[in-house]
Amino acid sequence: MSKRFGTGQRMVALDGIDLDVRQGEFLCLIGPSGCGKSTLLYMLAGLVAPNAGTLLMDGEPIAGPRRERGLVFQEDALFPWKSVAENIGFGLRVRAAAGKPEEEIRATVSRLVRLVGLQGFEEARPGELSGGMKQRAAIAACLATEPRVLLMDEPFGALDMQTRGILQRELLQIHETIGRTTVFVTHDIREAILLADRVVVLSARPGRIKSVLEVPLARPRWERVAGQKEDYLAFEQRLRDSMESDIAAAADTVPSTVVRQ
Amino acid sequence: MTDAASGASGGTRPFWVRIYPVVLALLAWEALALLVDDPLFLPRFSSVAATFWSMLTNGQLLDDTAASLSRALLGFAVAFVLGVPLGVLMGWSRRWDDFWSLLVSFSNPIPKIGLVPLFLLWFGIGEQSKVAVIAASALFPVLINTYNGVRAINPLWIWRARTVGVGRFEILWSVVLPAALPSIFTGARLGMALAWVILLAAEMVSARSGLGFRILYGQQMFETDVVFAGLLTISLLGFAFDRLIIFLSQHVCGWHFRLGQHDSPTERT
Repeated sequence: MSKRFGTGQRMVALDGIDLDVRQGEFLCLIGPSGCGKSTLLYMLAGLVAPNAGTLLMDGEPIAGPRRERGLVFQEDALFPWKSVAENIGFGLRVRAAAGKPEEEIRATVSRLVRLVGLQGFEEARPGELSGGMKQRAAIAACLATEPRVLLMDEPFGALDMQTRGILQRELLQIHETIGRTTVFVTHDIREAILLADRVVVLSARPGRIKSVLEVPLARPRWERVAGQKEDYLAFEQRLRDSMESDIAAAADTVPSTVVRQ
Repeated sequence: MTDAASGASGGTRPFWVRIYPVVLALLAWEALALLVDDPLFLPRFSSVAATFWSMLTNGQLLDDTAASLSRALLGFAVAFVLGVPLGVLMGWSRRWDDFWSLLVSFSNPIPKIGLVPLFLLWFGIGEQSKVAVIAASALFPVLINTYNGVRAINPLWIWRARTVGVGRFEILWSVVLPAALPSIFTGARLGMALAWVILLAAEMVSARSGLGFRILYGQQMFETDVVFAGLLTISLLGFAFDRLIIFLSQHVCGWHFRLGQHDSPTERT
């Protein structure tokens, strides 16, 4: 599988991005605030169109959002009027799911609830959950439609250190058991090293690819990364060096345009 | 969540905390009327209550209420059926917004009571003119609140739906409508309140029945207690319908109207 980007140079845009995402890999996009890494992810999702160049998935141009590419957002995007179970099952009850039998949906939802450890909270509304639980539900909701590619936009960015650590490990476990192509945006170096097979370092505005580094740590990693400490530290230094030069960048640009028809 | 039925701002506080000021006000009324000692100017509450009771038992009040209620509800229903879809479409589609926005902005500030003479010319003295003026009044709060509710939708909700393949029309009822529902309820509350105001005014201008007519008639007959009994009825009706809408909103969108109460950032003493 390959994807190609090459985007034009508007003010805050990405510039000359050329990148292949390999099947089954965990790819982290890392860079300073405002480098366009989230925009790149939304372009992969098909929600934002490039000004120039093309994005391909399996040789087909990405023309809009598709069920085969699932997205987990930076902040909570759960529907507050639906319960956790209804949120997770949402993608299975829409018309595009082509009338999946209700029993099957329920089985999938309860399997996912267990996978992300939300047993007992199936009927809770998002407003009654903590930040960590909301992101667990968001990940489960994304997995429900069985997308071939998972796109994650700093899903743990708003969480406290401890919760973040727990969820990182759970995500690793999920990735290492279901093994699905994942593109993960972060600005946390350690998060990138822990999760990724490859780390793509983007420069500050305009976002360009500075380097693409292979993470030299063996999998599975979710049990312990210990024993690879030397490799870990050496790689962390390499990554830091690559990022260091322009880490001072301006405000974050979350795409906040209200979407209309 | 135990306070679902106790009103918008009630919380779990006991009922009497909010009822005793009403009792105090009625007692003050009674005392003041005794002091003034001029039933034409200010009848005592007890005599208004007696008049209210006799009007209720002889059926007159029920007839007037039925006439007013049917006008108010019909007018409100027309406003709701027009206002919600138009508000959703304007909020959702730029083309609809462009077409309607100035038309709405220019017609909103027209005092709708000023339309009564016009509607009398158009529809005659019957029910239509009154229903029309109520509909024209309640339309705007319903429409504008629906519109604002749609405009304020978290764009991530839309994106999330689109990434699981929800199409352009499906998104309207699966995301946009439920997300805007709290605002629609707010619009309905305001529209309903306005419907009572306009109803009274319209009935005073042209009607042979209804509470507005009864109040005006009481004034012409120098029966001040009938005027007060009519006002009391309106107050009770308006209150009951407001509570009904609150009750519905808390049951249909409990996620919005109930959760907020518990994590209010300002703790009141």
